[in-house]
Amino acid sequence: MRPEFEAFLARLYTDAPLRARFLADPRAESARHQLTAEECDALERIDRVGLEFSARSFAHKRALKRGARSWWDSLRQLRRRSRNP
Amino acid sequence: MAAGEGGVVAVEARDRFGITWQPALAAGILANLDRIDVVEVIAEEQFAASSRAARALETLAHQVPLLVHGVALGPASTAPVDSRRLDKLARLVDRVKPAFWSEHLACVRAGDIEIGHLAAAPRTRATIDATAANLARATSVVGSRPMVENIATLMEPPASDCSEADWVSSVVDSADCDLLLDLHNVYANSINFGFDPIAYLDRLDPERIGAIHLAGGCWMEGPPEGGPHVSGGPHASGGPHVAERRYLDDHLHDVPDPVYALLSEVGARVRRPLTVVLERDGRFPPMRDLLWQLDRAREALGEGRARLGRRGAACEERPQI
Amino acid sequence: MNPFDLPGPQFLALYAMLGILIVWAVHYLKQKAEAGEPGRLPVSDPYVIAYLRGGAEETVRLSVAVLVDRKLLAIGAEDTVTTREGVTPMHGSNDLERAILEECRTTAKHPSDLVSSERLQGVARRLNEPTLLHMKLLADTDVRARRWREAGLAIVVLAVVAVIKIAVGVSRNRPVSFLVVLAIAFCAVTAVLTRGARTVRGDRILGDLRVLFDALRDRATGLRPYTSTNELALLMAVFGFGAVPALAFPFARAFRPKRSERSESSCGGSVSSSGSSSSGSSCGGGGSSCGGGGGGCGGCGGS
Repeated sequence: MRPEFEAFLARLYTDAPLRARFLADPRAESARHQLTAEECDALERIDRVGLEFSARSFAHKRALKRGARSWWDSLRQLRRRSRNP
Repeated sequence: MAAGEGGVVAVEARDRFGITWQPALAAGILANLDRIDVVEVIAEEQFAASSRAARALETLAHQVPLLVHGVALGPASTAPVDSRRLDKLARLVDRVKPAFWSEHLACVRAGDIEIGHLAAAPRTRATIDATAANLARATSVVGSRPMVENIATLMEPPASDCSEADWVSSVVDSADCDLLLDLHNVYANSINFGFDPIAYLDRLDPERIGAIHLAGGCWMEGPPEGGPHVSGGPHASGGPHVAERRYLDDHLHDVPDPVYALLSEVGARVRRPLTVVLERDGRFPPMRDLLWQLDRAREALGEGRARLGRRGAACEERPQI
Repeated sequence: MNPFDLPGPQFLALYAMLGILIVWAVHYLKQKAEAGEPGRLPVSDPYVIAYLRGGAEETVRLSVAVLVDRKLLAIGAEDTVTTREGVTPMHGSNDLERAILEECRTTAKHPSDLVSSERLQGVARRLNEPTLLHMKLLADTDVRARRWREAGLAIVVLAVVAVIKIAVGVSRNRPVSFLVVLAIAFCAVTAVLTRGARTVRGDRILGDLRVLFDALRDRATGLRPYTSTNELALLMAVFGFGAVPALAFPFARAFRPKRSERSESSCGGSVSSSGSSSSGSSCGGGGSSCGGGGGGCGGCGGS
């Protein structure tokens, strides 16, 4: 597996506009990213449903990591702790 | 326990059962150490810990054997794994001295793109070799070999030329690492992609299976617009290959019955002692329910081991999962 | 040059540096002598933890609360407790619980009376102190003697230096009050370093337990009476009664000092010099919903 293929897969997971263009025309979009003919063939046969599910799942995970706790939750916890040291 | 390589202590010669460390479960875990043999901590959560928290982890390590489980190294990639992450892992392993450390056979980033979680790499010879190379480097830096875990995936990785079981076996063999067999991941993938989980187990070298993960999940519905909705538990109606629907390994539900059956099958194949860890990351039930699930795991593994003991020349009927 | 001939302000600066150095040295020697590997703790025994945090009184208080939550003691009129019908001392799981059940068998007692009972405190001490002393989490006589030797020497040095300069100052009709105050302050700080029922190791362990159990305070709102006694006991042991929400333990009111005692002193007696405890004030926590680990492996398929 070439790094370019790996990077393109990662972009498919994380870049919604790119993914939409890809799902509309997989071969064309793959070709635009300097992938080989074999790689374009493989991507044309991709599990599209799985790709959408995966992308949404990964987006949710990334959002969680960016900070599930709001500033209000942090403030509430601070108030609670100051009342009960 | 005897000292092992690189800060890791040698595994005891008996099956052990444990749970992932969750701060919300701290009291329940520490109040029930007579029923919990090991506790698994997530490596990345400890990287960002304050010095107080790091010190508290060392205290925890004196109370119960710890396992260190990484989730963001991403060795299943053509790119070399990040040196800084390896250094942090090495320091953590050195400080905590776990029974073993583990990572996932997954890709989590490519270049500067962070995928966000565990993505399945295409199953090819190239990724087997690349993964083995990354694991060798990790072993060198951390000072001990990791166990490697099979992952659940919602998508069949493209450009694959072998089955998941064969790919996992090949990586384990090439990297000379033991397998942390996540049975719920096997179950989830078998539902989503229509293979027989028993046949999957048959493809694995039983002598390479060193640990087990158990978890739960639920169905993920895919409406045309917006994000996926989650419905029911694993026993809700539906089956494999239903359009717009995949079974998700979310660690937020109880371990389903078929996974215990798989654990029994593992017990009937594997002679070496196993470490079985129950993974639960949220929606926590009362501690007694989690302990009950551990007890059920003990029973299932014990039942399988009893079968292994009784098995001679006779063939045994393969159960339907 | 003779330092005792230095002008006042310069000598004060020098004395301050000397005082800081000596106090730091006493602190450093204490840390070096009393720290160490945490070792295996009886973390499943909340009584030991309660004793570490708050001494015998806190242990008795916790034991009474546990017996109430286990429905072996009943809360009655005027917040008194009695042993429930059909319950005998043998239902207690250790000598302290058995002693409390025996004490409350025929006469209703107020929890604060049980807490202040010398007999019950003695039982708590006998049960828990040897373990903690053996683990070097509490200061034994050797530790106290060492602390006093080191602090004593430090105080002597501080006092002698100050007295000499005071004598010189008085003989020259110079003001000495600042030096007196500074000397007393440094001696007092040094003396404080000798105090504390816990060793440095014991302080560390208690701090670590508070970190390990930190999230339990958020989850405490999910605890309910009679159903999670182990977790409730650990929560009380590590953080005190103030950390327990009323929903988890509605009987906290009974653990406040009686009305007559409350009018005399502030409630919630601290127990020994080893640290704070809280009386049965009504709930602390609450607010956030329970559960919800945000970390963890998160599932390999992820959501």
